[in-house]
Amino acid sequence: MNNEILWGKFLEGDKDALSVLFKSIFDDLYGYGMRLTRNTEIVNDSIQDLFLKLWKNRLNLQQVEIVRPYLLKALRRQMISNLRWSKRYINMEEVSDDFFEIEYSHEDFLVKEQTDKESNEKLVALLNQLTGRQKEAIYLRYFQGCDFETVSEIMTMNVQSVRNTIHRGLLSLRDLLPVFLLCVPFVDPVYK
Amino acid sequence: VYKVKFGSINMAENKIKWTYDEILLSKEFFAYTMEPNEEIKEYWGKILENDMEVQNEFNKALKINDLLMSHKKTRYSPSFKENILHTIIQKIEIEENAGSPRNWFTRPFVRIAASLLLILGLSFLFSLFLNRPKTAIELSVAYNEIIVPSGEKAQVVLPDGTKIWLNSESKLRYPSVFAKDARKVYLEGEAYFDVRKIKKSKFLVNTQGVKIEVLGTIFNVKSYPDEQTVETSVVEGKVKVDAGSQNNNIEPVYILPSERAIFYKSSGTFTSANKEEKRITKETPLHQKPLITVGEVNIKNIVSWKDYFLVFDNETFDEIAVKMARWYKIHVQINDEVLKKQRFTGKFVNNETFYQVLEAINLTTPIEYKYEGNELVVTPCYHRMFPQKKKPKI
Repeated sequence: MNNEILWGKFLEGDKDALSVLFKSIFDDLYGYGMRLTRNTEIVNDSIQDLFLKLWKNRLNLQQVEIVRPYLLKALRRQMISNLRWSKRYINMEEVSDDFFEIEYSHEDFLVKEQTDKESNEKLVALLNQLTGRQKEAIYLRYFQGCDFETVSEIMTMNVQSVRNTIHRGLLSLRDLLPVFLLCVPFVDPVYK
Repeated sequence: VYKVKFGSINMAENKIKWTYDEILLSKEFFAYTMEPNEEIKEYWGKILENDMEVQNEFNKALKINDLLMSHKKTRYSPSFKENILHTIIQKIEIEENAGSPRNWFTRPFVRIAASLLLILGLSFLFSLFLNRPKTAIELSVAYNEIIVPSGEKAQVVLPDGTKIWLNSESKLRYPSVFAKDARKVYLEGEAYFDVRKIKKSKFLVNTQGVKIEVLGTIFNVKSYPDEQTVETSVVEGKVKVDAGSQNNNIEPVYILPSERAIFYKSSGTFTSANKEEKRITKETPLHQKPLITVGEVNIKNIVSWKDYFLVFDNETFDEIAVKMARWYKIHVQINDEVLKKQRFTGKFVNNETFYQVLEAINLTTPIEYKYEGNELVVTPCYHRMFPQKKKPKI
Protein backbone atom coordinates (compact mmCIF):
# COMPACT_ATOMS: atom_id res chain seq x y z
CA MET A 1 0.00 0.00 0.00
CA ASN A 2 1.50 3.33 -0.93
CA ASN A 3 1.70 6.38 1.29
CA GLU A 4 -1.08 8.21 -0.53
CA ILE A 5 -3.61 5.42 0.09
CA LEU A 6 -2.42 5.25 3.70
CA TRP A 7 -2.87 8.99 4.00
CA GLY A 8 -6.44 8.67 2.76
CA LYS A 9 -7.15 6.03 5.40
CA PHE A 10 -5.40 8.14 8.02
CA LEU A 11 -7.78 10.99 7.24
CA GLU A 12 -10.70 8.61 7.72
CA GLY A 13 -9.45 7.86 11.22
CA ASP A 14 -7.74 4.53 10.61
CA LYS A 15 -5.15 4.04 13.38
CA ASP A 16 -3.52 1.09 11.63
CA ALA A 17 -2.93 3.30 8.62
CA LEU A 18 -1.33 5.81 10.97
CA SER A 19 1.10 3.14 12.21
CA VAL A 20 1.99 1.87 8.75
CA LEU A 21 2.40 5.39 7.36
CA PHE A 22 4.54 6.36 10.35
CA LYS A 23 6.81 3.37 9.84
CA SER A 24 7.17 3.96 6.14
CA ILE A 25 7.91 7.68 6.43
CA PHE A 26 9.87 7.74 9.69
CA ASP A 27 13.37 7.37 8.21
CA ASP A 28 12.87 10.35 5.92
CA LEU A 29 11.35 12.53 8.63
CA TYR A 30 13.94 11.60 11.21
CA GLY A 31 16.80 12.09 8.76
CA TYR A 32 15.52 15.53 7.83
CA GLY A 33 14.86 16.45 11.45
CA MET A 34 18.33 15.39 12.52
CA ARG A 35 19.74 17.46 9.69
CA LEU A 36 17.94 20.57 10.90
CA THR A 37 19.12 20.25 14.49
CA ARG A 38 21.41 17.94 16.40
CA ASN A 39 19.01 17.81 19.32
CA THR A 40 17.38 14.37 19.21
CA GLU A 41 14.81 15.43 21.81
CA ILE A 42 13.49 18.22 19.63
CA VAL A 43 13.30 15.95 16.59
CA ASN A 44 11.54 13.27 18.63
CA ASP A 45 9.07 15.79 20.09
CA SER A 46 8.47 17.43 16.73
CA ILE A 47 7.63 14.13 15.05
CA GLN A 48 5.25 13.28 17.89
CA ASP A 49 3.66 16.72 17.87
CA LEU A 50 3.32 16.56 14.11
CA PHE A 51 1.47 13.24 14.09
CA LEU A 52 -0.73 14.23 17.02
CA LYS A 53 -1.62 17.50 15.33
CA LEU A 54 -2.34 15.80 12.02
CA TRP A 55 -4.52 13.24 13.74
CA LYS A 56 -6.43 15.88 15.68
CA ASN A 57 -7.03 17.97 12.59
CA ARG A 58 -7.54 15.10 10.19
CA LEU A 59 -11.12 16.12 9.44
CA ASN A 60 -9.90 19.47 8.13
CA LEU A 61 -7.05 18.02 6.08
CA GLN A 62 -7.17 16.97 2.49
CA GLN A 63 -5.83 14.22 0.32
CA VAL A 64 -2.52 15.22 -1.21
CA GLU A 65 -0.90 14.07 -4.41
CA ILE A 66 2.36 13.01 -2.81
CA VAL A 67 2.51 12.59 0.96
CA ARG A 68 6.25 12.60 1.54
CA PRO A 69 7.09 16.23 0.69
CA TYR A 70 3.89 17.29 2.41
CA LEU A 71 5.00 15.66 5.65
CA LEU A 72 8.58 16.91 5.27
CA LYS A 73 7.26 20.43 4.96
CA ALA A 74 4.91 19.95 7.92
CA LEU A 75 7.79 18.60 10.02
CA ARG A 76 9.93 21.59 9.08
CA ARG A 77 7.20 23.93 10.28
CA GLN A 78 6.77 21.96 13.50
CA MET A 79 10.51 22.04 14.10
CA ILE A 80 10.59 25.79 13.64
CA SER A 81 7.95 26.21 16.30
CA ASN A 82 9.57 23.70 18.69
CA LEU A 83 13.03 25.19 18.20
CA ARG A 84 11.65 28.65 18.78
CA TRP A 85 10.14 27.46 21.98
CA SER A 86 13.37 25.85 23.11
CA LYS A 87 15.45 28.88 22.18
CA ARG A 88 12.88 31.42 23.31
CA TYR A 89 13.21 33.26 20.07
CA ILE A 90 11.81 36.74 20.35
CA ASN A 91 11.24 37.39 16.71
CA MET A 92 8.37 35.11 15.86
CA GLU A 93 7.94 36.10 12.25
CA GLU A 94 11.23 35.58 10.56
CA VAL A 95 13.17 32.42 9.89
CA SER A 96 16.65 33.61 9.17
CA ASP A 97 18.98 31.95 6.76
CA ASP A 98 20.83 30.28 9.59
CA PHE A 99 17.85 29.43 11.75
CA PHE A 100 18.68 25.75 11.57
CA GLU A 101 22.11 24.67 12.70
CA ILE A 102 22.84 22.30 9.89
CA GLU A 103 26.09 20.45 9.95
CA TYR A 104 27.43 17.62 7.89
CA SER A 105 29.82 15.06 9.25
CA HIS A 106 32.01 12.46 7.60
CA GLU A 107 29.76 9.86 9.16
CA ASP A 108 27.00 10.98 6.84
CA PHE A 109 28.80 9.51 3.86
CA LEU A 110 29.85 6.09 2.81
CA VAL A 111 33.52 5.43 2.37
CA LYS A 112 34.24 2.56 0.08
CA GLU A 113 37.89 2.94 -0.63
CA GLN A 114 40.85 4.76 0.73
CA THR A 115 40.73 7.29 -2.13
CA ASP A 116 37.14 8.07 -1.20
CA LYS A 117 38.13 8.97 2.30
CA GLU A 118 40.09 12.00 1.23
CA SER A 119 37.40 13.33 -1.05
CA ASN A 120 34.74 12.65 1.56
CA GLU A 121 36.55 14.68 4.15
CA LYS A 122 36.96 17.47 1.65
CA LEU A 123 33.28 17.24 0.71
CA VAL A 124 32.18 17.52 4.32
CA ALA A 125 34.44 20.50 4.91
CA LEU A 126 33.13 22.24 1.80
CA LEU A 127 29.49 21.47 2.61
CA ASN A 128 29.86 22.92 6.07
CA GLN A 129 31.09 26.18 4.61
CA LEU A 130 27.78 26.70 2.82
CA THR A 131 25.00 28.87 4.17
CA GLY A 132 22.18 27.26 6.12
CA ARG A 133 19.81 27.50 3.20
CA GLN A 134 22.31 26.00 0.80
CA LYS A 135 22.99 23.12 3.17
CA GLU A 136 19.30 22.45 3.58
CA ALA A 137 18.51 22.66 -0.12
CA ILE A 138 21.40 20.35 -0.97
CA TYR A 139 20.26 17.94 1.70
CA LEU A 140 16.73 17.84 0.30
CA ARG A 141 18.01 17.56 -3.24
CA TYR A 142 20.57 14.81 -2.71
CA PHE A 143 19.71 13.07 0.54
CA GLN A 144 15.95 13.07 0.04
CA GLY A 145 16.06 13.02 -3.76
CA CYS A 146 13.66 15.92 -4.20
CA ASP A 147 13.42 17.88 -7.44
CA PHE A 148 13.60 21.67 -7.42
CA GLU A 149 9.83 22.07 -7.33
CA THR A 150 9.57 19.87 -4.26
CA VAL A 151 12.50 21.56 -2.52
CA SER A 152 10.89 24.93 -3.18
CA GLU A 153 7.61 23.65 -1.79
CA ILE A 154 9.20 22.32 1.40
CA MET A 155 11.40 25.34 2.03
CA THR A 156 8.74 27.84 0.93
CA MET A 157 11.03 29.49 -1.58
CA ASN A 158 10.40 30.00 -5.26
CA VAL A 159 11.83 27.48 -7.69
CA GLN A 160 14.32 29.91 -9.20
CA SER A 161 15.84 30.80 -5.83
CA VAL A 162 16.12 27.14 -4.96
CA ARG A 163 17.90 26.57 -8.26
CA ASN A 164 20.22 29.48 -7.58
CA THR A 165 20.84 28.37 -4.02
CA ILE A 166 21.79 24.87 -5.07
CA HIS A 167 23.80 26.18 -8.00
CA ARG A 168 25.92 28.36 -5.76
CA GLY A 169 26.33 25.46 -3.40
CA LEU A 170 27.49 23.16 -6.17
CA LEU A 171 29.92 25.75 -7.48
CA SER A 172 31.50 25.88 -4.05
CA LEU A 173 32.12 22.18 -4.35
CA ARG A 174 34.31 22.66 -7.41
CA ASP A 175 37.37 22.39 -5.21
CA LEU A 176 36.59 18.73 -4.98
CA LEU A 177 37.27 18.27 -8.64
CA PRO A 178 41.06 18.38 -8.94
CA VAL A 179 41.23 15.27 -6.81
CA PHE A 180 39.77 13.16 -9.58
CA LEU A 181 40.37 15.10 -12.74
CA LEU A 182 41.51 11.95 -14.50
CA CYS A 183 39.46 11.62 -17.59
CA VAL A 184 37.29 8.59 -17.05
CA PRO A 185 35.44 7.51 -20.17
CA PHE A 186 31.67 7.89 -20.02
CA VAL A 187 30.09 4.79 -18.64
CA ASP A 188 26.61 3.83 -17.62
CA PRO A 189 26.47 4.50 -13.95
CA VAL A 190 24.99 1.80 -11.80
CA TYR A 191 22.36 3.45 -9.65
CA LYS A 192 19.90 1.65 -7.47
CA VAL B 1 8.94 6.99 -6.49
CA TYR B 2 10.15 10.31 -7.77
CA LYS B 3 8.17 11.45 -10.74
CA VAL B 4 10.22 13.67 -12.95
CA LYS B 5 8.56 15.54 -15.72
CA PHE B 6 10.74 16.86 -18.46
CA GLY B 7 9.65 18.36 -21.68
CA SER B 8 10.20 16.78 -25.06
CA ILE B 9 13.88 16.50 -25.60
CA ASN B 10 14.90 19.29 -27.81
CA MET B 11 18.21 19.05 -29.56
CA ALA B 12 18.32 22.81 -29.73
CA GLU B 13 19.17 22.71 -26.04
CA ASN B 14 22.54 21.48 -27.10
CA LYS B 15 23.41 25.10 -27.55
CA ILE B 16 23.67 25.33 -23.77
CA LYS B 17 27.24 25.38 -22.68
CA TRP B 18 27.35 22.14 -20.75
CA THR B 19 29.50 22.78 -17.73
CA TYR B 20 29.43 20.33 -14.82
CA ASP B 21 27.22 22.59 -12.71
CA GLU B 22 24.70 23.12 -15.51
CA ILE B 23 24.65 19.38 -16.04
CA LEU B 24 24.05 18.81 -12.32
CA LEU B 25 21.20 21.29 -12.26
CA SER B 26 19.42 19.94 -15.32
CA LYS B 27 16.25 17.93 -15.01
CA GLU B 28 17.61 15.47 -17.53
CA PHE B 29 20.61 14.72 -15.36
CA PHE B 30 18.35 14.38 -12.33
CA ALA B 31 16.23 11.89 -14.24
CA TYR B 32 19.35 10.11 -15.46
CA THR B 33 20.62 9.62 -11.91
CA MET B 34 17.29 8.84 -10.29
CA GLU B 35 15.70 6.44 -12.74
CA PRO B 36 17.61 6.07 -15.97
CA ASN B 37 15.62 4.78 -18.94
CA GLU B 38 16.47 4.24 -22.59
CA GLU B 39 15.12 7.60 -23.65
CA ILE B 40 17.26 9.54 -21.21
CA LYS B 41 20.36 7.47 -21.89
CA GLU B 42 19.95 8.19 -25.59
CA TYR B 43 19.55 11.88 -24.82
CA TRP B 44 22.86 12.09 -23.00
CA GLY B 45 24.52 9.75 -25.44
CA LYS B 46 23.81 12.18 -28.27
CA ILE B 47 25.12 15.16 -26.33
CA LEU B 48 28.29 13.43 -25.24
CA GLU B 49 29.01 11.83 -28.58
CA ASN B 50 32.33 13.03 -30.00
CA ASP B 51 32.62 15.87 -27.50
CA MET B 52 35.48 15.19 -25.13
CA GLU B 53 34.98 18.47 -23.31
CA VAL B 54 31.35 17.80 -22.43
CA GLN B 55 32.27 14.23 -21.53
CA ASN B 56 34.79 15.58 -19.08
CA GLU B 57 32.23 17.92 -17.54
CA PHE B 58 29.68 15.13 -17.41
CA ASN B 59 32.11 12.93 -15.51
CA LYS B 60 32.76 15.73 -13.04
CA ALA B 61 29.04 16.10 -12.54
CA LEU B 62 28.70 12.37 -12.04
CA LYS B 63 31.47 12.38 -9.47
CA ILE B 64 29.96 15.18 -7.42
CA ASN B 65 26.55 13.63 -7.70
CA ASP B 66 28.05 10.31 -6.69
CA LEU B 67 29.72 11.79 -3.64
CA LEU B 68 26.57 13.55 -2.51
CA MET B 69 24.39 10.56 -3.16
CA SER B 70 26.62 8.13 -1.30
CA HIS B 71 25.20 9.25 2.01
CA LYS B 72 24.16 7.00 4.81
CA LYS B 73 20.82 6.79 6.47
CA THR B 74 20.55 8.58 9.75
CA ARG B 75 20.92 5.85 12.28
CA TYR B 76 18.91 5.20 15.41
CA SER B 77 18.46 2.33 17.79
CA PRO B 78 15.93 -0.31 16.69
CA SER B 79 13.47 0.40 19.50
CA PHE B 80 13.58 4.18 18.98
CA LYS B 81 11.09 4.26 16.12
CA GLU B 82 8.73 1.83 17.83
CA ASN B 83 8.86 3.87 21.02
CA ILE B 84 7.92 7.10 19.28
CA LEU B 85 5.04 5.39 17.47
CA HIS B 86 3.91 3.82 20.72
CA THR B 87 3.92 7.20 22.47
CA ILE B 88 1.93 8.78 19.65
CA ILE B 89 -0.71 6.06 19.71
CA GLN B 90 -0.87 6.21 23.49
CA LYS B 91 -1.31 9.97 23.51
CA ILE B 92 -4.05 9.72 20.90
CA GLU B 93 -5.84 7.09 22.93
CA ILE B 94 -5.55 9.03 26.16
CA GLU B 95 -6.97 12.04 24.45
CA GLU B 96 -9.80 10.03 22.96
CA ASN B 97 -10.63 8.19 26.15
CA ALA B 98 -10.01 10.82 28.77
CA GLY B 99 -10.23 14.02 26.82
CA SER B 100 -9.90 17.49 28.20
CA PRO B 101 -12.72 19.11 30.13
CA ARG B 102 -13.58 20.97 27.00
CA ASN B 103 -14.77 17.92 25.11
CA TRP B 104 -16.47 16.34 28.08
CA PHE B 105 -19.80 16.17 26.37
CA THR B 106 -18.62 14.20 23.40
CA ARG B 107 -17.53 11.33 25.58
CA PRO B 108 -19.49 8.11 25.72
CA PHE B 109 -20.16 7.83 29.42
CA VAL B 110 -21.30 11.42 29.62
CA ARG B 111 -23.80 10.54 26.95
CA ILE B 112 -24.78 7.50 28.98
CA ALA B 113 -25.08 9.68 32.05
CA ALA B 114 -27.18 12.12 30.10
CA SER B 115 -29.53 9.41 28.89
CA LEU B 116 -29.64 8.01 32.41
CA LEU B 117 -30.64 11.42 33.56
CA LEU B 118 -33.41 11.59 31.02
CA ILE B 119 -34.78 8.18 32.01
CA LEU B 120 -34.59 9.00 35.68
CA GLY B 121 -36.18 12.36 35.11
CA LEU B 122 -39.00 10.79 33.17
CA SER B 123 -39.54 8.07 35.75
CA PHE B 124 -39.67 10.71 38.45
CA LEU B 125 -42.26 12.58 36.49
CA PHE B 126 -44.12 9.37 35.95
CA SER B 127 -44.09 8.41 39.61
CA LEU B 128 -45.17 11.91 40.35
CA PHE B 129 -48.29 11.42 38.26
CA LEU B 130 -48.97 8.10 39.93
CA ASN B 131 -48.58 9.55 43.38
CA ARG B 132 -50.35 12.73 42.60
CA PRO B 133 -53.45 12.23 44.77
CA LYS B 134 -51.41 11.58 47.91
CA THR B 135 -48.56 14.00 47.72
CA ALA B 136 -49.60 16.58 45.24
CA ILE B 137 -48.61 19.50 47.39
CA GLU B 138 -45.16 18.34 48.46
CA LEU B 139 -44.19 17.01 45.11
CA SER B 140 -45.20 19.98 43.08
CA VAL B 141 -41.69 19.91 41.63
CA ALA B 142 -40.27 17.03 39.61
CA TYR B 143 -36.71 15.98 40.39
CA ASN B 144 -33.94 14.68 38.24
CA GLU B 145 -31.42 12.36 39.73
CA ILE B 146 -28.01 11.41 38.46
CA ILE B 147 -26.21 8.42 39.87
CA VAL B 148 -22.58 7.91 38.96
CA PRO B 149 -21.25 4.41 39.67
CA SER B 150 -17.72 3.66 40.81
CA GLY B 151 -15.05 3.85 38.19
CA GLU B 152 -16.88 6.61 36.32
CA LYS B 153 -17.42 10.33 36.30
CA ALA B 154 -20.05 12.56 34.79
CA GLN B 155 -20.91 16.13 34.13
CA VAL B 156 -24.25 17.89 34.10
CA VAL B 157 -25.41 21.32 33.18
CA LEU B 158 -28.35 22.41 35.26
CA PRO B 159 -31.25 24.38 33.79
CA ASP B 160 -29.74 27.63 35.14
CA GLY B 161 -26.42 27.03 33.36
CA THR B 162 -24.53 25.82 36.42
CA LYS B 163 -21.99 23.15 35.55
CA ILE B 164 -21.43 20.24 37.86
CA TRP B 165 -18.77 17.54 37.62
CA LEU B 166 -19.62 14.40 39.53
CA ASN B 167 -16.99 12.04 40.86
CA SER B 168 -17.40 8.27 41.12
CA GLU B 169 -20.09 6.91 43.46
CA SER B 170 -21.97 10.16 43.64
CA LYS B 171 -25.59 11.10 43.50
CA LEU B 172 -27.08 14.45 42.56
CA ARG B 173 -30.72 15.38 42.77
CA TYR B 174 -32.13 18.64 41.48
CA PRO B 175 -35.51 19.97 40.44
CA SER B 176 -36.20 20.16 36.75
CA VAL B 177 -37.34 23.71 37.34
CA PHE B 178 -35.65 25.87 39.95
CA ALA B 179 -37.57 28.11 42.30
CA LYS B 180 -37.10 31.82 41.62
CA ASP B 181 -35.23 32.82 44.76
CA ALA B 182 -33.25 29.67 45.49
CA ARG B 183 -31.67 26.91 43.51
CA LYS B 184 -31.53 23.82 45.70
CA VAL B 185 -29.67 20.64 44.90
CA TYR B 186 -28.98 17.52 46.95
CA LEU B 187 -25.65 15.79 46.88
CA GLU B 188 -24.17 12.56 48.08
CA GLY B 189 -20.58 11.92 47.13
CA GLU B 190 -18.14 14.34 45.53
CA ALA B 191 -18.90 17.14 43.09
CA TYR B 192 -17.28 20.19 41.60
CA PHE B 193 -19.66 23.10 41.16
CA ASP B 194 -19.23 25.96 38.75
CA VAL B 195 -22.26 28.00 39.75
CA ARG B 196 -23.71 30.52 37.38
CA LYS B 197 -24.31 33.83 39.08
CA ILE B 198 -27.93 34.91 39.01
CA LYS B 199 -29.04 38.05 40.84
CA LYS B 200 -31.18 37.43 43.90
CA SER B 201 -31.00 33.69 43.47
CA LYS B 202 -28.94 31.71 45.96
CA PHE B 203 -27.52 28.35 45.07
CA LEU B 204 -27.88 25.80 47.85
CA VAL B 205 -26.24 22.41 48.18
CA ASN B 206 -27.77 20.14 50.79
CA THR B 207 -25.62 17.28 51.87
CA GLN B 208 -25.75 15.20 55.01
CA GLY B 209 -26.77 17.90 57.39
CA VAL B 210 -24.64 20.59 55.80
CA LYS B 211 -26.05 23.45 53.83
CA ILE B 212 -23.70 25.17 51.44
CA GLU B 213 -24.84 28.51 50.18
CA VAL B 214 -23.32 30.54 47.36
CA LEU B 215 -24.22 33.14 44.78
CA GLY B 216 -21.87 32.47 41.90
CA THR B 217 -18.65 30.67 42.66
CA ILE B 218 -16.59 27.59 42.00
CA PHE B 219 -16.19 25.06 44.76
CA ASN B 220 -15.77 21.39 45.52
CA VAL B 221 -17.82 19.34 47.94
CA LYS B 222 -16.76 15.93 49.16
CA SER B 223 -19.46 14.24 51.15
CA TYR B 224 -19.56 10.47 51.05
CA PRO B 225 -22.02 8.89 53.46
CA ASP B 226 -19.46 6.28 54.46
CA GLU B 227 -16.91 8.90 55.42
CA GLN B 228 -16.84 10.91 58.59
CA THR B 229 -16.47 14.31 57.07
CA VAL B 230 -18.11 16.74 54.69
CA GLU B 231 -15.41 18.80 53.05
CA THR B 232 -16.08 22.03 51.19
CA SER B 233 -13.21 23.68 49.32
CA VAL B 234 -13.35 26.95 47.43
CA VAL B 235 -11.74 27.61 44.07
CA GLU B 236 -13.25 31.00 43.39
CA GLY B 237 -15.50 33.39 45.32
CA LYS B 238 -16.99 33.04 48.75
CA VAL B 239 -18.94 30.12 50.18
CA LYS B 240 -21.10 29.87 53.28
CA VAL B 241 -21.06 26.51 55.00
CA ASP B 242 -23.76 25.97 57.57
CA ALA B 243 -23.57 22.78 59.55
CA GLY B 244 -25.81 24.05 62.31
CA SER B 245 -28.77 22.10 63.51
CA GLN B 246 -30.99 21.94 66.53
CA ASN B 247 -28.64 19.49 68.20
CA ASN B 248 -25.46 21.49 67.89
CA ASN B 249 -24.45 25.09 68.28
CA ILE B 250 -22.26 25.25 65.22
CA GLU B 251 -22.31 28.62 63.58
CA PRO B 252 -22.04 29.03 59.85
CA VAL B 253 -18.56 29.68 58.48
CA TYR B 254 -17.53 31.63 55.40
CA ILE B 255 -14.65 30.31 53.39
CA LEU B 256 -12.55 31.92 50.67
CA PRO B 257 -10.43 30.57 47.80
CA SER B 258 -7.93 27.86 48.78
CA GLU B 259 -9.72 27.29 52.06
CA ARG B 260 -11.47 24.15 53.14
CA ALA B 261 -14.14 23.67 55.75
CA ILE B 262 -14.28 20.21 57.22
CA PHE B 263 -17.39 19.19 59.07
CA TYR B 264 -16.93 16.17 61.25
CA LYS B 265 -20.30 14.50 61.41
CA SER B 266 -18.85 11.99 63.68
CA SER B 267 -20.14 10.45 66.77
CA GLY B 268 -17.13 8.23 66.82
CA THR B 269 -13.48 9.05 67.10
CA PHE B 270 -11.45 10.98 64.63
CA THR B 271 -8.30 12.99 64.45
CA SER B 272 -7.66 16.17 62.58
CA ALA B 273 -5.37 15.45 59.70
CA ASN B 274 -4.20 19.01 59.42
CA LYS B 275 -2.77 20.63 62.51
CA GLU B 276 -2.96 24.09 61.03
CA GLU B 277 -6.71 23.93 60.82
CA LYS B 278 -8.12 26.04 63.55
CA ARG B 279 -11.41 25.37 65.15
CA ILE B 280 -14.12 27.88 64.59
CA THR B 281 -16.71 26.87 67.15
CA LYS B 282 -16.65 28.84 70.36
CA GLU B 283 -16.80 25.99 72.78
CA THR B 284 -14.15 23.37 72.73
CA PRO B 285 -16.17 20.44 71.59
CA LEU B 286 -15.60 16.91 72.65
CA HIS B 287 -14.49 14.52 69.98
CA GLN B 288 -17.82 12.84 70.06
CA LYS B 289 -19.54 16.04 69.10
CA PRO B 290 -19.84 17.34 65.56
CA LEU B 291 -17.28 19.99 64.76
CA ILE B 292 -16.32 22.25 61.91
CA THR B 293 -12.79 23.39 61.10
CA VAL B 294 -11.39 25.70 58.47
CA GLY B 295 -7.91 25.53 57.02
CA GLU B 296 -5.84 26.33 54.00
CA VAL B 297 -5.41 23.67 51.34
CA ASN B 298 -3.77 23.05 48.01
CA ILE B 299 -6.93 23.54 46.01
CA LYS B 300 -5.41 22.19 42.80
CA ASN B 301 -4.93 18.77 44.34
CA ILE B 302 -8.46 18.73 45.64
CA VAL B 303 -10.17 19.47 42.35
CA SER B 304 -7.75 17.60 40.11
CA TRP B 305 -10.04 14.56 39.96
CA LYS B 306 -12.28 16.34 37.50
CA ASP B 307 -9.37 16.50 35.04
CA TYR B 308 -8.71 12.81 35.59
CA PHE B 309 -5.68 13.33 37.76
CA LEU B 310 -5.51 10.93 40.64
CA VAL B 311 -3.81 12.78 43.48
CA PHE B 312 -2.75 11.59 46.88
CA ASP B 313 -1.80 14.48 49.12
CA ASN B 314 -0.15 13.04 52.21
CA GLU B 315 -2.91 10.49 52.53
CA THR B 316 -2.84 7.20 54.39
CA PHE B 317 -2.93 3.96 52.45
CA ASP B 318 -6.33 3.40 54.05
CA GLU B 319 -7.68 6.59 52.49
CA ILE B 320 -5.97 5.77 49.22
CA ALA B 321 -7.67 2.36 49.16
CA VAL B 322 -11.06 4.07 49.42
CA LYS B 323 -10.13 6.48 46.63
CA MET B 324 -8.89 3.66 44.44
CA ALA B 325 -12.02 1.63 45.04
CA ARG B 326 -14.12 4.50 43.70
CA TRP B 327 -11.72 5.43 40.95
CA TYR B 328 -11.01 1.97 39.58
CA LYS B 329 -14.05 0.03 40.74
CA ILE B 330 -11.95 -2.46 42.64
CA HIS B 331 -11.95 -3.42 46.26
CA VAL B 332 -8.63 -3.03 48.01
CA GLN B 333 -8.02 -4.86 51.24
CA ILE B 334 -4.95 -3.97 53.27
CA ASN B 335 -3.86 -6.70 55.62
CA ASP B 336 -1.55 -4.75 57.86
CA GLU B 337 -2.27 -2.03 60.39
CA VAL B 338 1.10 -0.29 59.95
CA LEU B 339 0.71 -0.29 56.18
CA LYS B 340 -2.77 1.20 56.52
CA LYS B 341 -1.39 4.24 58.28
CA GLN B 342 1.52 4.73 55.91
CA ARG B 343 1.21 8.09 54.15
CA PHE B 344 1.77 8.74 50.44
CA THR B 345 1.88 11.73 48.18
CA GLY B 346 1.67 11.36 44.43
CA LYS B 347 0.01 12.49 41.27
CA PHE B 348 -1.08 10.32 38.36
CA VAL B 349 -1.89 12.32 35.30
CA ASN B 350 -1.95 9.81 32.47
CA ASN B 351 -4.85 7.56 33.31
CA GLU B 352 -2.55 5.08 34.98
CA THR B 353 -3.98 1.69 35.74
CA PHE B 354 -4.34 0.65 39.35
CA TYR B 355 -1.42 -1.70 38.84
CA GLN B 356 0.72 1.29 37.96
CA VAL B 357 -0.48 3.10 41.06
CA LEU B 358 0.34 0.11 43.24
CA GLU B 359 3.72 -0.22 41.54
CA ALA B 360 4.42 3.43 42.31
CA ILE B 361 3.64 2.76 45.95
CA ASN B 362 5.78 -0.33 45.74
CA LEU B 363 8.75 1.82 44.81
CA THR B 364 8.95 3.37 48.27
CA THR B 365 7.13 0.84 50.39
CA PRO B 366 7.64 -2.76 49.41
CA ILE B 367 4.24 -4.38 49.02
CA GLU B 368 2.77 -7.48 47.50
CA TYR B 369 -0.69 -7.72 46.03
CA LYS B 370 -2.87 -10.44 44.61
CA TYR B 371 -6.48 -11.07 43.81
CA GLU B 372 -8.58 -13.03 46.25
CA GLY B 373 -12.03 -13.29 44.80
CA ASN B 374 -13.15 -9.76 43.99
CA GLU B 375 -10.69 -8.22 46.36
CA LEU B 376 -7.21 -7.04 45.73
CA VAL B 377 -5.30 -7.98 48.84
CA VAL B 378 -2.26 -5.89 49.69
CA THR B 379 0.33 -7.08 52.17
CA PRO B 380 3.69 -5.65 53.14
CA CYS B 381 6.64 -7.38 51.62
CA TYR B 382 8.84 -7.98 54.62
CA HIS B 383 11.75 -9.69 52.99
CA ARG B 384 12.31 -6.65 50.78
CA MET B 385 11.64 -4.25 53.61
CA PHE B 386 14.21 -5.94 55.82
CA PRO B 387 16.58 -7.77 53.52
CA GLN B 388 18.27 -10.58 55.32
CA LYS B 389 21.93 -10.10 55.69
CA LYS B 390 24.07 -12.89 54.41
CA LYS B 391 25.55 -14.88 57.19
CA PRO B 392 29.29 -14.60 57.20
CA LYS B 393 30.96 -17.78 56.18
CA ILE B 394 32.87 -19.52 58.88
